[in-house]
Amino acid sequence: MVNLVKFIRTGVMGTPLKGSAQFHKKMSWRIASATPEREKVLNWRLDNATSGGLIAELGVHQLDLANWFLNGLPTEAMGIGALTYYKDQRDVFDNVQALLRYPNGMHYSYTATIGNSFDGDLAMFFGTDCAIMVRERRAWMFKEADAPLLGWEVYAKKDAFYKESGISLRAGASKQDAQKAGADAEVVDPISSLQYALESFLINSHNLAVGVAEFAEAYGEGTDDDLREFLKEQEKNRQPAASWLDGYQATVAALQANRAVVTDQRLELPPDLFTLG
Amino acid sequence: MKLNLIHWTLGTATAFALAVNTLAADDTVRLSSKPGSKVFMDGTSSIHDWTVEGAIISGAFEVEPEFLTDLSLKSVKSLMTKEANPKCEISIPVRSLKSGKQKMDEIMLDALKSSEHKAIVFKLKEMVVKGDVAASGAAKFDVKGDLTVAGTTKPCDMEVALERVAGGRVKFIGSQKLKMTDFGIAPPSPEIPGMDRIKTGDDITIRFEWLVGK
Repeated sequence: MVNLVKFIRTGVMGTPLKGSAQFHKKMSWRIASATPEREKVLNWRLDNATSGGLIAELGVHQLDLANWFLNGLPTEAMGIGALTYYKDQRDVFDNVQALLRYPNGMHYSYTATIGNSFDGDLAMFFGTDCAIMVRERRAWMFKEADAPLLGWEVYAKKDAFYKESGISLRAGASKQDAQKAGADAEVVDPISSLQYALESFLINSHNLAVGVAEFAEAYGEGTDDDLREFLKEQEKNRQPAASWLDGYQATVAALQANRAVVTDQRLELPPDLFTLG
Repeated sequence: MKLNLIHWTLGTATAFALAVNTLAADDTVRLSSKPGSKVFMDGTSSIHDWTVEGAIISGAFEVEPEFLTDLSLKSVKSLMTKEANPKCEISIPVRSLKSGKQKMDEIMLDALKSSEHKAIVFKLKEMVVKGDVAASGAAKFDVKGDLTVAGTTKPCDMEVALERVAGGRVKFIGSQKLKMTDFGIAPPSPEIPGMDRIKTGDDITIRFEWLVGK
């Protein structure tokens, strides 16, 4: 995902236009339990008083991705939803769609239902030169007919999607031997996003601890400002990882989107909503 | 009697030699490393030039106290002649050198044998003013010392510049061209998925800005 963001930051999409994501999985979301009291506690997700709804509980990761890919924070949220199928005394909607406005004319829609599984979950990002689809640990690029040639797409592996042909975005896929018979067309990154995140956390934590220790050994007590300046310089060496601020901002976006859906209101999202302190 | 005279003479000569080449500790001021120091290592490869940088230079510079007050350095014997020399040893932890790419850092640490040799070390042997000293105190020196990288020590001669900075601090600036193979380091040749095998160039340049003060 980090490499995909770097690829997008090269401007390959042209002018970014919009993004969208969906979560489709038929499931009741209810957890059974032996006693009514325990079942109420276990099923906090089905109660609007304690739940962020499908958008927050399932979509926060997609919204975090949207903030990252679109390189900004939403300024407005609106949406619709309904309890369409699971009429079992829950009040959390089982069928929702939210729309978020981002700066520079971009917008992002998120739809989730636990009443149908078709097409699972995916994310799309659209720009004037191409669209990018992200599914699980794979991604494809769908170029516009008038988009500038990148040069390597002639050699890239392509997959057919109905009437479209998607260029598979993966390292090594452009090499000639990836085209040979016998090449495994279904190879995906064996490392999950969670593992990447944990590795980044461990590396960043280790480097921070080592950096502080080496600073203290070299410069003695120093001043807080000196250490702060040193640590700020080290940030450029940090492994890509969501910070506490990224998590906070994604959570705020998700909860506000859910509030817009539940209250059927259009909500302004000022910048200070996404800051702490 | 003759043997005693020889021993006395030899002993006196030795003591005299040691006295003129080593500054007594109570005749010096110790200027230790300060934050703001930087070190860079520039290199090349078959795909692009690269630079690693660090902000940790540990060590101290011990010199006559006149170094801080006499901007002309004329009264600082250890810098004007070879009869005496300042004492200086610096250490750069190899883990503090960063390229901004984790994989490249791992390759570099492996090449520098960081598990056994945790730092690049320079020990000063001689430091003499070169040319005129500016009114601001800016000066240049011919420096000789021993440089240890990945456990291998080689003589290192370079020109080092001095700048006086605020707060009574001093900045030493220098650079040195080296070859990895001179220190027993085989230029790394990693293979990255999706790319041809990368070949790293043998020639590198170490640049530093070392800030010291009381």
